Amino acid sequence: MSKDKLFGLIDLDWRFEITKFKPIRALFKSRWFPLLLIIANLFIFVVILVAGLMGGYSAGNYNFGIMLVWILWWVMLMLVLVPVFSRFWCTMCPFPVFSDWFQRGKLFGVRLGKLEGLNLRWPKKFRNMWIMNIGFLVTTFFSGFFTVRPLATFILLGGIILLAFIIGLVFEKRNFCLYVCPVSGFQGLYSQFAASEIRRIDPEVCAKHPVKTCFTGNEDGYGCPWMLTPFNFEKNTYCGMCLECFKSCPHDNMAFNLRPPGVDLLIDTKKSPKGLDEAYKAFIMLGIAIMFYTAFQGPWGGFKDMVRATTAKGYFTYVAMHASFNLLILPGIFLFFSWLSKLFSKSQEVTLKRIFINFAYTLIPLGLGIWIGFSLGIIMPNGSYLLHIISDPFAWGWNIFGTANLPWTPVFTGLMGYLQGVTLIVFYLFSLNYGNRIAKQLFPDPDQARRAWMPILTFLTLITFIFLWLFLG
Amino acid sequence: MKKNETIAVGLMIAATILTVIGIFAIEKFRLAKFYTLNLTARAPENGNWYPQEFTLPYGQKVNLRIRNIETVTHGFAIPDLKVAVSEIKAGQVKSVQFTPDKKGTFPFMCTVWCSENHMQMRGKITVE
Amino acid sequence: MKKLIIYTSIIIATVFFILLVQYGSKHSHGVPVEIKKAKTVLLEIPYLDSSVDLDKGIDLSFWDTRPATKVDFFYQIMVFPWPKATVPYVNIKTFHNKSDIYFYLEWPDDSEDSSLAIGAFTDSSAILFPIGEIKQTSSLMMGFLGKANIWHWKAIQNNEYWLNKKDETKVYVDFYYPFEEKELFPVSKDEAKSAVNDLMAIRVGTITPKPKQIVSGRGIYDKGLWKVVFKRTLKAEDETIDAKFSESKMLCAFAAWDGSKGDRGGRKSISDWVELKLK
Repeated sequence: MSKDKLFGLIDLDWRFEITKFKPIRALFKSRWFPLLLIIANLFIFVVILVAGLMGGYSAGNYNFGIMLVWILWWVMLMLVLVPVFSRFWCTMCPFPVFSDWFQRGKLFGVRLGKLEGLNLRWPKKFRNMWIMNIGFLVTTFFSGFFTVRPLATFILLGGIILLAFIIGLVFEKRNFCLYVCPVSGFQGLYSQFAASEIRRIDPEVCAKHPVKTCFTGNEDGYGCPWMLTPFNFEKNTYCGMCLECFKSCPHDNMAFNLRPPGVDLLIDTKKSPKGLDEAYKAFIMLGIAIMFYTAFQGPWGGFKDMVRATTAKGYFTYVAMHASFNLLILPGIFLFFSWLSKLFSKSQEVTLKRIFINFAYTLIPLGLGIWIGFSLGIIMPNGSYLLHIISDPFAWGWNIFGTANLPWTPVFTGLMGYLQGVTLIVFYLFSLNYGNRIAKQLFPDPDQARRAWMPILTFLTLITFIFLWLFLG
Repeated sequence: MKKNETIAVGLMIAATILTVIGIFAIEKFRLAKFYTLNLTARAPENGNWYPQEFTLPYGQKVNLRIRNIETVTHGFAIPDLKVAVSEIKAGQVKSVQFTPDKKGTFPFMCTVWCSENHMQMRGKITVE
Repeated sequence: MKKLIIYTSIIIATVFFILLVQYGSKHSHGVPVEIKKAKTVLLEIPYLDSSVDLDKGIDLSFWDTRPATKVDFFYQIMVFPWPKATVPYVNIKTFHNKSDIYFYLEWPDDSEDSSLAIGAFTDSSAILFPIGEIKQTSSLMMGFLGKANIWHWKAIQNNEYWLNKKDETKVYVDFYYPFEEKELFPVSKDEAKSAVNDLMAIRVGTITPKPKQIVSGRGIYDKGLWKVVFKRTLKAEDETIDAKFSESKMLCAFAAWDGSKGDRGGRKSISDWVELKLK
């Protein structure tokens, strides 16, 4: 691995193993963890589903389901869970618990041998992010309803749980999480930037261990439900952090590490190649952020009406605009800059496709920064509603914690634009830093790399300026 | 091992089925404490008052809990019984206590221009 | 067997979810949602080869043969003060004879209030015809957002004009009452030139007599009922301010004031829109 340092400060190979602390390793090895977390979460989601089903206030700001899902959960995902803890949400996600239970016949214990269900293998051509890309994009067509119609949130979450159950019964293990779950896709993409990871500690130990119990499973834990090979995987993307490998490894050779954010962005090996599906995920996430920002936090009421389907025509215009912007226009613009990049580099060996794909990964830090900014724009003005709804989740006049009648209090909204701006610039710098490295990986000749980098740098700067303008007005 | 599995299944049931049952049981218990009538305020095009017709006992104190579940402001009045809540803001729950002192059927209505169909936002209450 | 269990589980889960969604969509506001379309009363104006000479009275023997359409009244509660009681309904009879149009209004009232004093108010009734584009689906306070022509019959004017019973007072308290019961807001009074005021308005608070009064009317109080006839030429003199009657549907709304219950101004009973159609 590289010896150079991120911003000249942190060695890219730097790791800090959290599981070296005995109580933490013991926790990770316990079968109660993350089961208890999952059950606790399931309880919360049951309340969310009841609130969504029973309606509560149709105004979203007083509905437990809407507030918890779109204000708390979504914001926590973007603000903390993904950037810091990678896919820690998947650790405690209750959605696939029913199919897990069905497959295993057990909640707590480990079932040895073949799992229940039809156990079909996932079709090879779908072993990528495309289903999640399209699924997530289609979900955003309805975003105007999720935040105002409790039932829409119920249908979305209930639908995900149902789909997870059905797919778990038909296909083996966690194929739903790997290739279908709309929440999974962007977590996978952005977890490449995360500041933590699960990896094996010593490759020698694994090499000397003939039965790869982390893959096959033993009486202490299941073989990787995400069908990775914990003994040698390289990227966070498809690691759901279910912690089974901690339990099934007899040598305690798995580790949960803190690391410099973003090191996965540099990985482009035969085993974990950079792909068009992930590149597109990056475009879609960026495109959705742009659309959402303009629709929900921008000053254009007419556009918001279109998203909320005030008229059918307006709504379909929005859907058409949204889809083509994400799938054609934004990638098209980026293709143009990639073409410029190839032109400037004067390189014959590196194909345009590779330039396009590899440089698309520079959008990951920037996109994450934009989403964090967007999340701040949600939580700071609306966070105080949370206190209300936890006391009166079904709008039945309950007051469990005595906070039901607190008035709406936006916090630090005056600072919000600046906070968003600063976040954006920090993540922009990450994008530049990694982009520079990706350029050097693509073009071995430093001069070529520098020339090829210029157009992409311009593109990233343009996007940053647009968002700075949006955030700061 | 067997014991742990039982505990896990028990927790699972508690988190799902018992939670749902519990939520509705608590609400039922709460309502049983005093004579409460829940009234939901909606503009006519969204379903109007619910219930739109109801009966109250004569001479007994009642608690009317009016829930505005919409994004517009509504009002409430039973002019014949001199009962009114001037403003129920979007998402608000307002309670009004009174003792019906007249028998008969009386209209109640929204008192705030809430929608194009505001005039239809009416109902009937019977005191007997 | 194994497949059967799996397929059954999938079907049960799916059906359960669909049923929940179905329940949810019916209860998406927390309670059952059932949207009833409001019924509008249709009032057809038939052609009759007949006429009523108001100088001779309102010709009850003729009106008694005509069919009535009942229209319910409601409290006017859009603005304060609210009325203290409602007039429950009004029975309406109508016809035209190609040159004139007639409306006969009959509503219950316990007492005849046709003279003025401080703290006493006249019985009256009115018909509102929106002019031009109708922006609202409810009549509200009789007109609200749009332009309207209003025919307002007042018992006191009826007395002055037809029965020549003049009150001594030259000032009286009309419909504006900032201080509720303790109000004293005298308005000077013209000599009545008709029992009906032909008014126009463009929104709330803009009610004004039309420069040219073209509506006549006459009423009698008979056994607990007010019976009032409005008459106007069928053709509108000025379509921008006069109600226009045609074969296509148009709207109108009715109102009544019960003086003994303190009704005046906005304190009145009103109807929702009624559809009119000339035959």
